Amino acid sequence: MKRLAAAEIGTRWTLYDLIDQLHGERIGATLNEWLIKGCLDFLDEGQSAWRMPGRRQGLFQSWCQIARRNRRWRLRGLDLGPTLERVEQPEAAIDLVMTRLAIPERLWMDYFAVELSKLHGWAGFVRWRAQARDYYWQERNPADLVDFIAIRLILSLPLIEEAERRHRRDFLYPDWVRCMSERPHECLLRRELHSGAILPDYAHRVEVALDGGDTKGIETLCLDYEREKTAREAASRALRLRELCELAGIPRAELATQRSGALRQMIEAVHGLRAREGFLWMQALERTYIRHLLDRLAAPRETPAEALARTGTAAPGIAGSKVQALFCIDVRSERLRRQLEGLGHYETFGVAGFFGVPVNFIELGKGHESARCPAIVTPRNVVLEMPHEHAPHGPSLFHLATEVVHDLKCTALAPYITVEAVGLLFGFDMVGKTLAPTLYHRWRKRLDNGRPPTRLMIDKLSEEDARDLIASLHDELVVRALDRQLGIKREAVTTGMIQELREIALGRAAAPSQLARRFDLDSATETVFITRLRLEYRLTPDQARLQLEQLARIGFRIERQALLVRNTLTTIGLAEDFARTILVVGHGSRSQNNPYESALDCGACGGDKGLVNARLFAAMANRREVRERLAGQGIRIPEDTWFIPALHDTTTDEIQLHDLDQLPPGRLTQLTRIQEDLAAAGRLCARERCAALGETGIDSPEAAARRVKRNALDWTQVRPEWGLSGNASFIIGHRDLTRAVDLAGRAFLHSYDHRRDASGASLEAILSGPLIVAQWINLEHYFSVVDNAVFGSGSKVYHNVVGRFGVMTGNVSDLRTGLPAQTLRQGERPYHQPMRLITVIEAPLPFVQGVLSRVFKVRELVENGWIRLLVIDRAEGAAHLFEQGTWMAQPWTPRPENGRSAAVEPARRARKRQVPVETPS
Amino acid sequence: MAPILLLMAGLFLPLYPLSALPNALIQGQARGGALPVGDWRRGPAVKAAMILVFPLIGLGLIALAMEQASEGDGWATLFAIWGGLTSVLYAFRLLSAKDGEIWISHLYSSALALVWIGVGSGVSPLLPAIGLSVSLIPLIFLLDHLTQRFGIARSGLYPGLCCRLPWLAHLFVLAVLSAIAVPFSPSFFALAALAFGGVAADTVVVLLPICLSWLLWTWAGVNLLSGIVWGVPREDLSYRDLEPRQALGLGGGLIALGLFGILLVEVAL
Repeated sequence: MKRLAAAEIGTRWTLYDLIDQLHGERIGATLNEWLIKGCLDFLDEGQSAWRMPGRRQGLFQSWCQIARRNRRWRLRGLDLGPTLERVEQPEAAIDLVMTRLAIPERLWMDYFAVELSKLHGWAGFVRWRAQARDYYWQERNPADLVDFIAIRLILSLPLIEEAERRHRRDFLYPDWVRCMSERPHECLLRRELHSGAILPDYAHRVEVALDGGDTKGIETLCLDYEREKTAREAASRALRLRELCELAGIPRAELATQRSGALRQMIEAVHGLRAREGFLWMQALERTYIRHLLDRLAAPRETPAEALARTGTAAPGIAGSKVQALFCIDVRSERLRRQLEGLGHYETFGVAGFFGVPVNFIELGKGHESARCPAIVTPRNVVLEMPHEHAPHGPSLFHLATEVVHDLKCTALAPYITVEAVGLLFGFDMVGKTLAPTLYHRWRKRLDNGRPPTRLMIDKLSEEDARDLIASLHDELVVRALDRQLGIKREAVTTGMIQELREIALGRAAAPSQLARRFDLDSATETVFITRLRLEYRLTPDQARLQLEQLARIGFRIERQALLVRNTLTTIGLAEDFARTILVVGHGSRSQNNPYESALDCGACGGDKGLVNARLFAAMANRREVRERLAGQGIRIPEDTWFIPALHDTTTDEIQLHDLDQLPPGRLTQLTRIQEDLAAAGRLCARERCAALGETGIDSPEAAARRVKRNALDWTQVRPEWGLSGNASFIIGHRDLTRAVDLAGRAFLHSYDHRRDASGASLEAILSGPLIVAQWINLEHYFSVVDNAVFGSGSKVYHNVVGRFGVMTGNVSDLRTGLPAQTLRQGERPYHQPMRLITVIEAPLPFVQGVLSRVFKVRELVENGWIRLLVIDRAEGAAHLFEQGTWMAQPWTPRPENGRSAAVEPARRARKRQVPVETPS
Repeated sequence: MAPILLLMAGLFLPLYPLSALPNALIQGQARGGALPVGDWRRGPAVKAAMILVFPLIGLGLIALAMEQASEGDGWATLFAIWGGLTSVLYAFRLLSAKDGEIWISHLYSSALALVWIGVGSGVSPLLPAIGLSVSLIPLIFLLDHLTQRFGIARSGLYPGLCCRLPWLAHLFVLAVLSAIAVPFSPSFFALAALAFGGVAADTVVVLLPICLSWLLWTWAGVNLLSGIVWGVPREDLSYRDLEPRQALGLGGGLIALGLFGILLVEVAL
């Protein structure tokens, strides 16, 4: 049995940990609760109706102000006032507490680390905020880890002092060191008793002995207890070992004889395995997966459409009717791509779901920017969403009612009467959402006007346009101010008067104005009005300059648009042979009552829906100016090729086409067939999805589609879809490699043709961008499934949203990080298999090695075993796996398809085949 | 003579500090300290017998005292207040009790002390006393099963029984609920009889201790359950569930208790 060591004080245990463990107190839990409540108040991002005062001063200062007046603590005898009076800064508070607890300075950093690990979720969030650039709430209400630790230490001090009074002992650092060296037996028995690890039949005796305080008696009992516990543990281990030997086929008689050495060997094997057992199972999982994957990639196969064409049952694809589609690399796109290709006439490509267009997006009706790109990219450009038709009337009655009810709910006192007045309405809402979610949702949708059609401002404004825009905005403000402040309507003033007032406010003209003369305003009234324009309506030169700077960020220059489109197309190997219709399919999810909704959206779009990026890419690629520039670089997109943005709903597998109003009229005839095909592929995906979700009673794709739609609308559904759970591999290669292979929605698929990437730049971009993001996703799932309580967030059934930034379990807990159990587990068994990401690159090995040597981060991940890298060279018919620092050849021979050689490609692809194969540098 | 008889009754229908003796006996304490586990005097049958017989002796002594007391003596009211205070005191102590034997003895003292309220307010105390004491019997046997398995019946030492001993855990929950007088247990109807029967005499003296004690019992019951039935089971202990026959026997006993509760409501209310 391991005894408590003095060296662990401050490095593993805090002082109150020892009080809790050895004296049965709950200081740690109390401290956590108080600190969490403080953090909840301070870090709130708009959920609370009654906000904490003084937050702009920072976490520590504002908390101190509240803590000084906390009567609950005073009633308990814990007056923090005198301590807080002595410190003004958090650093001083930390110094004060650590000095008073007599903790040696050499242990301080370790002690802080232990303190931070107590609530790693909250500490992590505070740290993230402190380091996040331009994070609105951090700029407004600053907080950092020094504040966090200072509050924790300040709170711990009176609790420790209270325990000292109650137990009539000193609990300072030197006292604990002395206690452990002088009374180790008492410490051990106390810890056993209060930690709940004591042998039950000893509990009473130990309690009596500790209460008696007889040192000799405690020592005797402790030795007896240690002996007994060791003996019982040994007996239990022997039993387990015997069972293990029986399973291993070693007879009991052989174990008993010393000569055979079987027992010793078994014990050594168990000890040797203990440290790496988990790793061993993981390797076994990975090897099984790699073997199956290689088998499937080598096997001959064809899509259902190809099979029909080969047997002559169906006509081959009619030239010109082909549709190409760009999908996100997300594992959920794999099913849809496979099903769509199975229907025939579709060629699909995989690319990171932001389609190479990093952007800050300002949604219609929202005043803030959201980054629509992977977290590793910082977007420089901003895109605005603008309505392209004016709403015929104001907000609907439904919207007004919704807002009124929301406001009533969020005020401090109104809820008491709101429940009486409109509580029944919530009852209808609840019954509808619970019993008939689909019908109810349809009815709600009918009440809602929905969003007006919009366009994205993708082009840069010229300086002249920007100045005009700002002038118009200012004129609008002047008109509004005239009406509100002076009661002068628009029809009474001329445009010249408005412009003159604007120029006076901006300091570019002098009073008196024409308006003052016309309406006989005295100079005082005019001065007050101008001042109000400057102060209330912010019509100042500084503000105008700021607005001009902001406008300069909006949109992309034509050259940049061409560059972004070119990069994306060349990366996926689509530089010629364009179809007439190319779908650009972003993805997003739809679910109700789900704080984890963004985890189901597109990771490449900053955890948001991918439609904006799809619309942007399509709009850029459809521009004549962009195509002219691309043609100059060798990428000739035919004039009749049209990119159509679409959104794949990954919960229902429905695909909605967008911006159809911009489609050339001649193309509309093809749309019906595409939409029908997409719907059919979606239904087939839904059937696969239902099987994976364990849905029963699904006898047709239509029934499956209805079921998944219900899941998306059902507010009681804890698992609307599996999301990225189950992800196992990342395949970078030509679609020919994976076409018609059922990868069960477990593979990220990135299109790539090494023959078009002589320099390796495209592969480098894929490895350093999409692969890194996929690896994050993979590890997030890995850690969340191996220990869901610690690295994941437990069951989402008990989750409560806090402060609009996170979730807690119950009403007070650490901020939960990682993924919930429902995302990863199916009943008692894990649905997601914990494996490292199996990354497959289709290219010659020396070429991959060359690229890898240039990408430090990825090389580090591969060499340190965080990614399993498998390189497939179809031309050579070879596969190599990077394992234990070396490339190991894997048995892999692609088998020819029925009736044709594997090397023979369809006629359409023949042109691509003629591109010379680049030798790696 | 009547006060002396009432004081003697206070040994059996516990009144603090006279309650120390029945408490010690039910906890298996003897002159030299706690009796060893396995001693017949510490067995569940002896405890059950004490819990069933003590109230009857106490009621007999009260009946004798009442025969001798003249009208208006006021002793009954005084003892009712004393009983109420005793009940609340033991209910409060119950909150911190972890050991099963201490828990059951405190609950016995708290519950049976309430019978004095019935005595003081003119409610016939026999059925309430039986109802309150008989509700504790299943818990005594189940605590004994825990002692047999783990060497001690104590909260917090072997949590998560619901995962490892589902039969025992289910019956344990029912037994605790019955002991703390949740509706449809005999003790619930006993409390109801005392409250409804006595409320006319003095609302505060009758209802305050009954309600307060009941509240504290339920709180203590939840504490006991959370320390034994719920939580994460320990890996270093071996678990053995009830035999089907034992489970059936105990389950049958609980059903019989339920039927007795119904009988009690028919007769008492």
